[in-house]
Amino acid sequence: MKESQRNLHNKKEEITMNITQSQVKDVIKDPERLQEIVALDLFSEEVKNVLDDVTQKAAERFNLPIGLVSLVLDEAQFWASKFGIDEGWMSESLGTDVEWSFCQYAVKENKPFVVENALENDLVKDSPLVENEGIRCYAGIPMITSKGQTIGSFCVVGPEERSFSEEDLNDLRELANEAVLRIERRAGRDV
Amino acid sequence: MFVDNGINKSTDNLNIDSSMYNISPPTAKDAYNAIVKIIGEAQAKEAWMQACTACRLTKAPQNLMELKNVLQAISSKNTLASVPATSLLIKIRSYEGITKKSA
Repeated sequence: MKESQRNLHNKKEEITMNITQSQVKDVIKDPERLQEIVALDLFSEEVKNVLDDVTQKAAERFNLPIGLVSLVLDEAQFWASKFGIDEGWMSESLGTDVEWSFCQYAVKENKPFVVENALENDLVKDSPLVENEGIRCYAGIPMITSKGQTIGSFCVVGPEERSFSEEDLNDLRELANEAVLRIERRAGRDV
Repeated sequence: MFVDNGINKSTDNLNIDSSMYNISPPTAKDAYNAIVKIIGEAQAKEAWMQACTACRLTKAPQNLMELKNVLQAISSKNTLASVPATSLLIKIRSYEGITKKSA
């Protein structure tokens, strides 16, 4: 294993060890964080229109079927943009219970959250999204606004095990930054 | 009291096999408490009552359809209350979706 890969692996283990469900709940229910989602009017249909090409670009860059802007709310994740989920119940629900989500961990830790094989990850292996929907790999970057609030995760998702390099995460981070920039500019912020 | 009336009643016509993932769908009480947790008791009570009135309910939601309508009414306004309301709507829809798929 290369040094950079080993470092990345260690970082991921550290994140896993640091997270407990109760800690996650505290952060995701923070009213100031949720108020930022309201201030940016993120439930508007227009938001989807400014983000769809970014999530598509992410999925294509990683050769994965799904790219998402997932806003992590208090009880659910809401997909403000979803590339690759065009049919089935997830397309209609526009999100899932937050307890099932991978994105909650990126928000809680304010760090990239990477899952190479969901079946072997204690945080997510019991999620219905793994058992029922077949999700196996995930990489998500926290979306942090200019006000310092983490509103959600910009992520790519796939049905097969795979690894993500540092370069991959840097590329994903650039796309996440682009998504946040578009969201804030749409809301009239001078960023 | 208007808000308390029936709020403990489970929306038991939600036809979901909750044993599958050791989960249970939100009840009207769960929904109300989730909103309280984010915006506080006074504002939650006001938002809840306004939504019930808009949905022409004289007491708290008694079934899933009524609960969805109340949550939809709250979520349609761009206020902090819209966050837990939207959350709960997604939560209900995801329970319904995963259960239908598993059936």
